[in-house]
Amino acid sequence: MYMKTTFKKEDQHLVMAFEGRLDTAASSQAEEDMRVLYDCEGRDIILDCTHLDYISSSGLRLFLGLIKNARPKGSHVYLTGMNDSLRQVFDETGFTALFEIL
Amino acid sequence: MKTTQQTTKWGSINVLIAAALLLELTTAVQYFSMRRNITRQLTEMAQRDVSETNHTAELKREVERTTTLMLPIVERYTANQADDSLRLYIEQILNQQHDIVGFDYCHVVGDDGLRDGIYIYKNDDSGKPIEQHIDFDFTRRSWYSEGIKGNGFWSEPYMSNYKVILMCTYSAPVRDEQGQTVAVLGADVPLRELSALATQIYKNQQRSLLPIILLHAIGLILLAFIIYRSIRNVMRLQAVDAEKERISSELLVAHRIQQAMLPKTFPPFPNRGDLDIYASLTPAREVGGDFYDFVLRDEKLFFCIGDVSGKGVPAALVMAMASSAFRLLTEHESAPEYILAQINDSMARDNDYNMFITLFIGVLDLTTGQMCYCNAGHKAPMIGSLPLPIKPNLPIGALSDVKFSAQETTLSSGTTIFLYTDGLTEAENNTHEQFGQQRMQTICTDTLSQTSSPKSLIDRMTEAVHDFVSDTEQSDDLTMMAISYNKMQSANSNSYHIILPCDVSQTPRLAEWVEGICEDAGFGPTTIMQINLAIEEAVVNVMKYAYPNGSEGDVNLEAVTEPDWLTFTITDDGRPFDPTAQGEVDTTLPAEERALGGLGIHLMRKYMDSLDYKRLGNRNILTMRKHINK
Repeated sequence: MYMKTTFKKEDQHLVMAFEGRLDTAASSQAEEDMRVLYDCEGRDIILDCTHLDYISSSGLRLFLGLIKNARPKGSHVYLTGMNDSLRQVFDETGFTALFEIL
Repeated sequence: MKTTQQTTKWGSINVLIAAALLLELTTAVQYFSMRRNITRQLTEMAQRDVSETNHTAELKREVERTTTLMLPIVERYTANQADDSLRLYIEQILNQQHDIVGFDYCHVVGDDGLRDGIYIYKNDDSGKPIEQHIDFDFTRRSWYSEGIKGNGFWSEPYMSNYKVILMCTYSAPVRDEQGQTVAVLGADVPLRELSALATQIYKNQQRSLLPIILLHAIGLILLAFIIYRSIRNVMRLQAVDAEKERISSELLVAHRIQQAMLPKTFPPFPNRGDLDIYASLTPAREVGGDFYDFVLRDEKLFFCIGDVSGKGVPAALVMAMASSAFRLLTEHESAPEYILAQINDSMARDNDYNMFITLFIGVLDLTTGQMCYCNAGHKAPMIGSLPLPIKPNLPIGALSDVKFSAQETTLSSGTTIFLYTDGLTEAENNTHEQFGQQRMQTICTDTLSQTSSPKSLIDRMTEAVHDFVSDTEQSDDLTMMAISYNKMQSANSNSYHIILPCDVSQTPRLAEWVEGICEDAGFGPTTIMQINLAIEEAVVNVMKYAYPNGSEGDVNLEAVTEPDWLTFTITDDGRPFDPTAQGEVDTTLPAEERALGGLGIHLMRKYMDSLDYKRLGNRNILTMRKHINK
């Protein structure tokens, strides 16, 4: 019952790895954590979802907010390592089309 | 503190001994000096008596003769009422006489009670006669009252009214021609010798008085000192008593507070047929370091028993910390090893006094009988008549970052768990024999073969321990808890219930509850996640929209599993809010055009098979159903 993020700044892109459950309870902390990604300045953003077990609409909203901020700056947002259940949630909500899923 | 009291006590005893010795000494000195004086005086008096008896008899005869000779002349002057001549005559006689210091001449007091009398005596310095009207009631004097009766009379010695002198008076009646007594003439003879003797006695006494007074003064000072010391001690004792009183009343309050921390209503769940609990805690002092607790949440019983190292107030403080941590953590955590790790981290962080707790935590799933438990150095609880296999693990608070590993077992219906602290097995009788594991185990076996009642087991155990230790003082806190579990025979349906406060941080708890139900219903992980998502969205919507802006309220969830359907009913008494009335979001729009809201209801619709909203009275009722595909 926890949520953890790890942020890594690389030459060409910003990487944030998610671990655990991004539910409503965890979303406010996640929002804080994701603020660093708003200074992307054209660099690409990679959201590593390998260890993300769960996401609720509160989490989806954070992702949506991020892409709305990043796109005008010319940054791409990539999602990696999603499991099938998570992938289904993205499919259902049309989010698969908004992100570049690897 | 103790040393000071000791010194004071010995100091007082020394002072008392000195005072007693001094008193004895004073008495002894007084006794011997008095005895010496009295002996000497008696000797002197005896000698004087012998030599002076003759002299006194001579003196008496001389005075009697003088008076008798005077009488006819005095009678004549009296008859002629020649007062001046009478006075002159008496003065003349007085001048001639050496042994007589004064004459009294008093008329007989008649019926009118008028007194008339004169006293003529020699001035001490010049020896000249002085005349004085007698102003006291001479009729009370024996020389008068006896003198008027007839013959001459010698009075007992008495103190003169006019001179500081002891004297005797020889008195005789003065008669008229008819022989009637009209006046009394008295001659005063001083007892000079006797006076001298008295003075001597006094002087002798004075000589031995100084050392006695000195000794007495020292005695008084000592006595004052003792009294001062006693008063000081009494006052100090009173202060100590007041302090003791304060501490014991505070301890009593602490005792009550500590007792209030423990669940004490038994049976705690009278409406449940599957669970009965009984516990008892007897601290060795007012407060102690033992504790037990249990919490029922989402069809899971969280229970613990713990024993803080040490006794009394320090142990009680740590116990309070640990037991409140247990309450807090069990509100949202379900893994006993995680709860233990959390308590351990907070305890070990600032554990300057190296206190530690042995703690056992169990989580019993009442729907399945599955028990997950984790032990931190505590005694193995009994499951029926056998000890539960436990990993020992380190006690809580010993080291931080300890990995605790949980264990699992499944309880069959009708099992009684017995938990205890070492106050039970290590209870000692007066020969320092311990109650021991074996006795405890035997009582468990015997009692549980007859009944599974937790209260009976603990009553039996308590009685056995009391019989064993008899009147030996209890040396350690004694705590026992028994839990009996009877698995409900599930029919075709199961129902579950949870109440959440209006707080989105409760969602992990919700997720856990939903997952448990879904697992029971046999759903796979993906579906479980989807149902979870749908329920979370529904509940978060209620929290956000039915109870807007942090208003308070509960969200009531009920779940029923039937052979084909899993039904969730979410009820709240907030503002009317119908999630099903929300329009569908367009999931095909590009990101820039997508709204941030509306996703929740979309997911609810997608992942549940039916969604139904009702407003009944003041309540929103949302029913969500999912088909179970076996």
